[in-house]
Amino acid sequence: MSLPERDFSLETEYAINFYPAAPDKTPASNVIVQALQQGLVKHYGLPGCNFLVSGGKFHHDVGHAEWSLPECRTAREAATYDKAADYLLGWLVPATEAILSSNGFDGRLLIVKNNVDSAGNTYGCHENYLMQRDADLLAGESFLRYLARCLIPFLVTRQVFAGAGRLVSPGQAQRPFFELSQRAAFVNCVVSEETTQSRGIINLGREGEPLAEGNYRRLHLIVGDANLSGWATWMKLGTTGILLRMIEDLYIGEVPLLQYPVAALRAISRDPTCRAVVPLRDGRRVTAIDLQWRYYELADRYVEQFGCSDEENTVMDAWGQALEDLENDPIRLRNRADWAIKWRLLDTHIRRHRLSWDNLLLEGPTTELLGLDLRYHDVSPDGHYYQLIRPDTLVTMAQIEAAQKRPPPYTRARLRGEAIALTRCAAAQVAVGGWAELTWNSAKQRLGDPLEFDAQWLPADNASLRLAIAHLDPAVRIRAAGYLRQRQDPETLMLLAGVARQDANEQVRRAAAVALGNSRDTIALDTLIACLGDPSPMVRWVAEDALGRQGGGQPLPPRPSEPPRMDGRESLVHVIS
Amino acid sequence: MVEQQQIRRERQRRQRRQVEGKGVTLASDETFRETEAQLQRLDAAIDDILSDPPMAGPSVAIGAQDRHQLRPLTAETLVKGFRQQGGE
Repeated sequence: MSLPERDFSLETEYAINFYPAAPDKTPASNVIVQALQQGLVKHYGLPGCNFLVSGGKFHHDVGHAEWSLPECRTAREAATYDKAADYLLGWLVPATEAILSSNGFDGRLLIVKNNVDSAGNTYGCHENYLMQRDADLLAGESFLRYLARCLIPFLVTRQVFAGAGRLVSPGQAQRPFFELSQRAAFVNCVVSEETTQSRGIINLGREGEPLAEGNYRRLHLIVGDANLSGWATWMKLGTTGILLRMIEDLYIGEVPLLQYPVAALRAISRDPTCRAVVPLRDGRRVTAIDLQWRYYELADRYVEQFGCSDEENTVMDAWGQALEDLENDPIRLRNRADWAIKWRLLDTHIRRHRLSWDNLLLEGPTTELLGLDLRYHDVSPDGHYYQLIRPDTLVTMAQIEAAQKRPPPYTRARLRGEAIALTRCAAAQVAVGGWAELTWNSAKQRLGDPLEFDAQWLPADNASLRLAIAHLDPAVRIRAAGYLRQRQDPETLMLLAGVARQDANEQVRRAAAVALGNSRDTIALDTLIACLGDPSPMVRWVAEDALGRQGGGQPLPPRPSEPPRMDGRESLVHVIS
Repeated sequence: MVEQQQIRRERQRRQRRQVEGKGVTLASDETFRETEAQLQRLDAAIDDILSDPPMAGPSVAIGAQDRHQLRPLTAETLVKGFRQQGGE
């Protein structure tokens, strides 16, 4: 089984609303975004470039300010960069108001991270997952069908912990009511090609864009809400990531299929008790929590059998805990899930005014309630989320600040972000042409593989590679060994020798042995000889092959005193000798 | 039945942690107490917000940025003026 490699990212459309001091003096949305960009460029970017030192991108798009996260290796990393974006935008509000004021636009700027305005217009928070294009036995459309079949019931029900919550205003419904999800009411089909007229639970319209190439596909989901809670962002991405691993491995056999997925999405959203039942194709009726437990148990068995990263282990714990809390009392999620925090805020207001959810339309000061809902999503320090939970449900202030200044270290975002940072301090000249290419000191460089994190053209950074070769994720260690292969200094060789001899993962030991195979240094040769006794046949084979090539027809170096174990496969050295 | 399932899940989670040996422990009572404390803090913060709503004052300066005083916004202004172009 191959090592799982993935990147996670989000594209969030932030609502930018200007409240002018004088009527009819409202700047166009692109003018507001340009004023925000001035602040960003000053601290974190380059003039005329939408990309930032974090490797992410901020630009004006269809009347909104869109922030695209850099490519992140884990869900937690993506949630951290997402939070860094919120904090930066919130921090820029007073300075942007001042810039707009100096251009004749006095007023207050509100930057809101939600998905619906007061008139019922919607905008997205799109999720992107890098995943295998095909599975071993399923390719093309067959694999896509399997992917959709496995994923849809999960996506319909994950709103019980990932929903951002929404008070539907009287203008949009007969009477106000609370929904778990901001987006559920706007999704109108199961699979869609586009994102405006028809919005699908799964969107297949961005497959061709250059965020994934070769063996990878870009899974683009538009069903999710924009979350303020870092925990909710992390869970949304993390649980989906685990499921994608299971799908890539064709692990999921039967999942309960929903009879009407879109209707189920809406029915579940409209019930904050999380007890709504929805019909399955086999005639049974289940709750969203039942379905989530089914997925959790499948995932639990999968990680028991095939192992998981520390990150996935933590996601599993948080997922199980959330489902237990939802079963007992959904509002126990009010320390981490957006919808539950917001519901508690609104419910406390209702009780204070001796109202009830039932008589809200007749007696309720709904404008105050709608204002509370809206202010929850305000990313400035005035926003209710940030007043209730500071800095966040998941990440620390130090992590947020680091994510504003530096790119994720183990994706191509590092190349982009560091190139921008070096240009900012006049150590290079870079122009970023897009996600997959940049011009570095007049030479065009392709960033085709989203998971590459080192390149020949970037100044060598041995310290970063030393960290990478010791990273918890074996996939990062394997790539780091590949980069270190180009370097032949004794320090690098010693590092690779240690990894080849001692790393717990056989694929990492193999990658280190391959890297050492380039060298004729005695450190490399001694290590390769020691690798002949490795318990893994794949490591032994690499060592034998490298030593054979090194010999170039000359006698091979002396064999280790302990003969290598055969493990049912004849050693090449044994056969030769 | 439900109780048995929960015990099994908890046992599985504990086993996974022990196997991985990452030093993470889940003391259910401790987690429960911590969560309870968080929930109480959140409820108290909600009471504070509802007693003294933000944005009823001028916009605030952060860090070294210039102070920029503007009029407060009422809930009605905020909600009625919140219009966006449909996105995506």
